[in-house]
Amino acid sequence: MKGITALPRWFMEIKEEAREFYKGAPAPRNKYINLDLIKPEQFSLDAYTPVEDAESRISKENVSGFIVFIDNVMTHFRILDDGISIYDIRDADKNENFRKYFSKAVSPTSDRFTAYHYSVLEEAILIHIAPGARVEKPFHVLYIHSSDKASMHPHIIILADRSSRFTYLEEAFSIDEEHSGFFNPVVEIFALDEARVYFSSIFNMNENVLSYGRKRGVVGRNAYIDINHGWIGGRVNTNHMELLMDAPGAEGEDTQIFFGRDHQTHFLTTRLLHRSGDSRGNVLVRGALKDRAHSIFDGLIRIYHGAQRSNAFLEEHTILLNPGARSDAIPGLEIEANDVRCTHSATVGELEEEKIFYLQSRGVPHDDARKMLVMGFFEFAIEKIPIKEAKERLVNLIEEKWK
Amino acid sequence: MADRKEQEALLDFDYSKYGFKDEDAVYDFVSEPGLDEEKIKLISRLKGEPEWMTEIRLKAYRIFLEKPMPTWGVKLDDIDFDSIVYYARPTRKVADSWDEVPEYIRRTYERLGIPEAERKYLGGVEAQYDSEVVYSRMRKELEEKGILFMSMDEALKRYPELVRKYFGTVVPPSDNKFAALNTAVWSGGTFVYVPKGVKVDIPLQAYFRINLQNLGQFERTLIIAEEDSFVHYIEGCTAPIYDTHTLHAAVVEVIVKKGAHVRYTTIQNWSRNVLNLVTKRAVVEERGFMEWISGELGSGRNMKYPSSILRGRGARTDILSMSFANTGMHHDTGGKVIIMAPDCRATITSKSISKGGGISTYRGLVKVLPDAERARISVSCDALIMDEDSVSNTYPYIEIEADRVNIAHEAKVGKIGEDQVFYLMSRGLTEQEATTLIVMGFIEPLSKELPMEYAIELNRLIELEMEGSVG
Repeated sequence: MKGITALPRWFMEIKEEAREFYKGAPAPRNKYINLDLIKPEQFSLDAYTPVEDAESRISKENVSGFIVFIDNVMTHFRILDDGISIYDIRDADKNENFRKYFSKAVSPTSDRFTAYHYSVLEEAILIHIAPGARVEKPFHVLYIHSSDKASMHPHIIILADRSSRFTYLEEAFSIDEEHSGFFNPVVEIFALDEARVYFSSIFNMNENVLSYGRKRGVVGRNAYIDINHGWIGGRVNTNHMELLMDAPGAEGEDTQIFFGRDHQTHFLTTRLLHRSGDSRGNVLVRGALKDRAHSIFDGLIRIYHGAQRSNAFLEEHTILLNPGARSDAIPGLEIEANDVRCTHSATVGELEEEKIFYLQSRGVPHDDARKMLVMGFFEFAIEKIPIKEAKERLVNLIEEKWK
Repeated sequence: MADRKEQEALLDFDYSKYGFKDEDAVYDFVSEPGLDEEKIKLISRLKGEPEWMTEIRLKAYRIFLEKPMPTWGVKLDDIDFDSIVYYARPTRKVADSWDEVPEYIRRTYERLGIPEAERKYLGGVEAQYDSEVVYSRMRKELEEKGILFMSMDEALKRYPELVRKYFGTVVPPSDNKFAALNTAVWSGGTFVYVPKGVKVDIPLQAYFRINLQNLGQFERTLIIAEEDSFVHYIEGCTAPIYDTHTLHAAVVEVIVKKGAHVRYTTIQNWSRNVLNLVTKRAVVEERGFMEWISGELGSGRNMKYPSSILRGRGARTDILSMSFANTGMHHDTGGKVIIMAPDCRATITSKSISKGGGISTYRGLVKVLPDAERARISVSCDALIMDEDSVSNTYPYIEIEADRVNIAHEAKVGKIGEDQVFYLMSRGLTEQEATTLIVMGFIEPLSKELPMEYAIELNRLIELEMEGSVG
């Protein structure tokens, strides 16, 4: 498809602006990590290795549509529900929504790596759910990392029109366990008035992949966005998730689980931004770390001036499975209105000996008891995965992490 | 101890009068504004210090010049280090009787109620006026137990070896820009030494007063609690209201040895023109216990994070703080706990109130190093926001490198419950009274830890701050 139709001028201008910003912007850093170690230019935007039967991984009778990316190329897509339309950036002029929503949730100048994403962007997809459409089956997206040194920059816009309902699942994985890569997605979700969006993501590229993703959901009047992430793979895995409560009655939910082993680092940032009052937000993050793995959780609830009657809750819990693992957390609050209820809590601990002992007394071997407890700890997020096969894959991935 | 009525009468004066200044103050020596190596040498010479202390000061001054300003916390970029007076000595003599204190200073302390309090319920009192301690006395029976309680300057003269052994070991000058500045120009502050096994059952108090405009107060406090000893140290702070900023940059070092227990209480009520930037830290050995208790009511811009380094097995710390940020105030306060040994416990409790556009921020750190197995830590932050213009922030940093730990952090932000106000009003209270009463209840975990006299004082200060809070 590339090169056949010219990209729109306004799109090229955004890319240019991003390129300029990227040149001057330092890598994001805090006291626990410096992302200078990610050098996007070391990866190849042209790397592409075909994957046989990539499409066969989709169970077509159970989805409302699907998209497959291999490396940095969109190779397949299909719509199986009338409520959904898909637009490519090259069709942008046929759909006014493209220009209206593209880059409006995630700014091209948010940070160095987001700017890089925009500066190299050749493909962007808008998934539009028609007003009032209730899409029952989940929409399925695969990101397949196939080539060594692949540089991957998918850009997805989900526009859930008024009173629509949409369920989405993405899975990211590698074909080869040795290949390095840079995964750099941007996701923009707009839930217009009364819309409901259920978004799930499983990240399991191999442990030579660096990732930096940025996602924002904008929640409209009486609308609802539910975000669910499972972080399993990656070497250094960075994600910045924001939910913006933009109108009264908006409600955002963000659940995430992570599992780290060997020298993996999971750096998860989450923001509940209450720009409008009479809104609700909820974050629940749980993780387990073994070997020398490291997690950094940077969570924040922000209530803007005047956003009265906002309720927001944030919870983070980490289990350290052995000495040598490390967990850093900053669960912050910035509150500029007084008629609010905001709480956050964070815990770091070990698996409870009493529970292990109890399971052992029932005949469960010690190691299995530990696995069962961790699986139970993650269950709340696993349950939200909308496709049965994907749910089973996630459970298997978590079990494999013990090896 | 006097009964409650008497206490209330004693404290029954208009607190806005804290803002008075002594127009007729006479100084023995006031240095020119600004700082350089010559001025530091001069301060050291005027104090008759040993050469090693002059060297420490000069070295710290060089660190101060190199260190960048903190880029977080309250606004600091308008501090003009060249306009600050670094040293002002009202008198050469530390008196041990109020009669010997110059009349205008005595008058000040009487208005603050210090001599009265000393007679009634304190084991020792030290009063610092601008750069120097002007009065210091301890009860005889405490002296006989071998307790040392005096100004740092006097301790440096009388016990140079003790000072040299511990000075700067808990807060090195390289810690931060203001700790370096304090080390370079320190003057006054308290030295407390409690011998092994001695329990000081009545509190020792220091009272810090800034009078001179543009003066920086840089007191330096060192507390050494030997094995199995106990001491409760209280400090209070006030200053007149000027329209230019006054810098208060203190350093407090506490050494809690095996099995010792130190309780450090601060009631900070600086006027709003004071920038309060203090470094307070304790090192706690095996089974030692360090308690930091503070009520932060004053100071327009306040950065203060009392810290405990638990480095012996089974050490413990409690950090309890209350902060009230009223109109025009920005408090950035919290606590730090660093755990280096097994079986330690720590509790941080923070209560903050923002009102009339005030900003209060909790900023805390809990760090558990790999050897600190079985650490148990709980952190709780509660914030009350009184109106829609006020702001509350919470930034707790949690860094865990040991696996057999249990840490829980929780924070809540909200407003006063309307149902509570309604209930109290239905019982005949005015809205103002009801609101004030609820705020008092909110800070009760702090006030109940204070000696009664201070609890009453704190409540009165809160009442004063709460005035006009109901439309």
